[in-house]
Amino acid sequence: MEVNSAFRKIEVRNASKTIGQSEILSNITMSVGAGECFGILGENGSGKTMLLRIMTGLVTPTSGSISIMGSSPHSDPVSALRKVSALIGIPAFYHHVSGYDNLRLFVDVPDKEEIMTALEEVGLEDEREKKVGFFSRGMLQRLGIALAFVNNKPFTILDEPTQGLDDFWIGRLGELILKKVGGGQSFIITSHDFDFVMGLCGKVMIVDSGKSRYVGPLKEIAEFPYYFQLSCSPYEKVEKIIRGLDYVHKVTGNDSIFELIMLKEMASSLVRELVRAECDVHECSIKYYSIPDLLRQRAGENK
Amino acid sequence: MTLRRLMLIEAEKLMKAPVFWVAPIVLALYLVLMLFGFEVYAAKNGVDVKSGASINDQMTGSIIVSAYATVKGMALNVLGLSRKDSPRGGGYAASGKNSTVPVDERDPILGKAEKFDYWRNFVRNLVDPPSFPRPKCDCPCDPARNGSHDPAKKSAADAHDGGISLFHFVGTANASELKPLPPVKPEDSFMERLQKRINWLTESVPLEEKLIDRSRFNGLRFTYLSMYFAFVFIFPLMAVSVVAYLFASEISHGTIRTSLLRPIRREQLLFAKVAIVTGYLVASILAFIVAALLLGSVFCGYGNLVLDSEMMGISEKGKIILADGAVLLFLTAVPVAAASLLPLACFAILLSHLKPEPTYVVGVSSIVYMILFSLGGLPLFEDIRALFFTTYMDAWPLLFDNPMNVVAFVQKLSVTAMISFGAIMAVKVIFLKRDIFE
Repeated sequence: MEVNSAFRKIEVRNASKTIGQSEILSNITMSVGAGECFGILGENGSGKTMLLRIMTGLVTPTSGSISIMGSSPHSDPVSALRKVSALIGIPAFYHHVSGYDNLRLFVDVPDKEEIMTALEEVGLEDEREKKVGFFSRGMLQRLGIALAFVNNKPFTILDEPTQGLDDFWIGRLGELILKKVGGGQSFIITSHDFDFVMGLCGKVMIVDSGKSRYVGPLKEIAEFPYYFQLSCSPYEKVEKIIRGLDYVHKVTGNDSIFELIMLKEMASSLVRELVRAECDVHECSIKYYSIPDLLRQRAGENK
Repeated sequence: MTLRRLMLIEAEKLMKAPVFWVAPIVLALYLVLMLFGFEVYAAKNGVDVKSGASINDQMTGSIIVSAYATVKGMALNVLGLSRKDSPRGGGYAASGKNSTVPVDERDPILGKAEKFDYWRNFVRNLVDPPSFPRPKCDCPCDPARNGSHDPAKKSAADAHDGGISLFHFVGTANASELKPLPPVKPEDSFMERLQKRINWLTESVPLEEKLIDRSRFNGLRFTYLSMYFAFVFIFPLMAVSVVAYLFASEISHGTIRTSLLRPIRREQLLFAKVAIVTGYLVASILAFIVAALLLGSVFCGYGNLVLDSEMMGISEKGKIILADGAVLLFLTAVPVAAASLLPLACFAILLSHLKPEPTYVVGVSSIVYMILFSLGGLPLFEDIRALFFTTYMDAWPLLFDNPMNVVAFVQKLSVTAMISFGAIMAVKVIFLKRDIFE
């Protein structure tokens, strides 16, 4: 069916949710078009998952409206949820049923080939007959992702998809999402994993205390949402070397602890340089700024 | 997603759940215990229930039946209830396939009362159901068969025969005709005393009363009693357990969230679940009755359903229901019994939405049911009994009344339907507005 491009998007208009006296979400407005990968960033309890619940009709907003390709998930869930699949919260499946059967029971169209393809994509094809009760947390997460991938709907909503996954599967999931976005599917991803979101999403919304603080490209708010913490001695010698490196954009530090801003790819070069200069490298780790810190940084830059 | 597919999914989910398989196991164990209790009770009343011999005659070589007869014989011996002077050659264990005496010669009374050709009868009744009403009354109250004709019984029988009912009314056996209990000597052992009592029970009763007495311990009677107790205790527990699994457990474990992320309406999901609960109740009651009929027919014999005494606390009106008619009544009782359980199931569904904890739902529903059920039986609560939903759950035994109280039957079913509908509507309002956070 040919769909007018104007309707090929998810729109949230002034969505608010109040429970009792507390306002969980306040006037959230966003729009995600076809073939887009949209990230929602926020700290724990900021309201990311609540927003996704409202978008999928699980929770009714106190005010505002949601439109999934022209249909409301609250008044017309049949039409709206045909166009969107979602993984929200910790994946919930029947523990006494196999992974394959769980997918068959929960998908819209129980096509065996599609289910098998989704299981292969998340590496669970050999575990398909295993009962979900025996799955590890990571396997459960991958099964939830497989459920979101079956039937290849125009929009896929993933809530903290990297939770419980090891580095290999985080990378593999990123590849899968990029491939599907390339194929015209749209994704809405919530996470507090900056790297993951940065690598996938062209546009993000930062949610803080239920309010939308920023909508736009992530690079605009923070080109470097992280810094390197380097513990190295002797201090003077190390400082001299670091300040002489052109790929290190900013250096702060005292005693033998330095905070550096530079590209992640250059970390190994830095360590190699220091070792060659016979410095003692005790530790080199990556640290992420918190969302309020980033927002404060941005406010400071704007001033 | 169609409603049909949704219902199939819910049914498959239920079939894969442990709760689905626990119920048949519990019911099977219950039936076996009931069978044993039934036979012990019959033995205590001096009645050699069955048919042990007849079964063995017809199922020659059946290891199961022989083993059953042996175990039963041993158990009854331990309990001191074995009939060593049985005209069949004594004892249950001995009345097996090795006996060469024809059934009717071994026990002419039993032979007359029950046609041991039960397999043929059973199949015949299934294939070629008897036509009702019966043209002629041939019950023991008939003067042609019974010299001591009771006009009241006869008139009741006559009135009955002219109608369309399936029943055959005879009235309660007259206990005044019993001979006095033989004196018990102090030097008599316990077994001797018991033996005297059994002999008295079996030999002092007039022929027609023996007919009733003996024939009442058959497979249909067993089915009726099994159903009666199961309906009071087991089926209500099954109903709330299934509801707790399909509703409370889904909400508390979060699978309701996964379910609602499919393109379905919440009303559809609710309707599918209620339909599956109803279907499950119908299927389990049907399976239970069929199993009880088969088990009872095999081990206790197939004959008319006699409800004429106070047995195991159940006060029954005096009546005999022809075997074939009784089977039809049991089958009719299936949807009625399932419908009668719906108010309790709907109450549990409502609880599941107010506090979605399976243990809580099962516990509170069962306790509320037991309290209302118990209080409803007390004279003190007679005036407010109508307010208890448990008061309307006993519609199915009314089917076995003669004449059937149609007004009470319709009233009970109507109130049941209204309570269920009201509860489901309340659940619908809650469920449609509910925010799914789990």
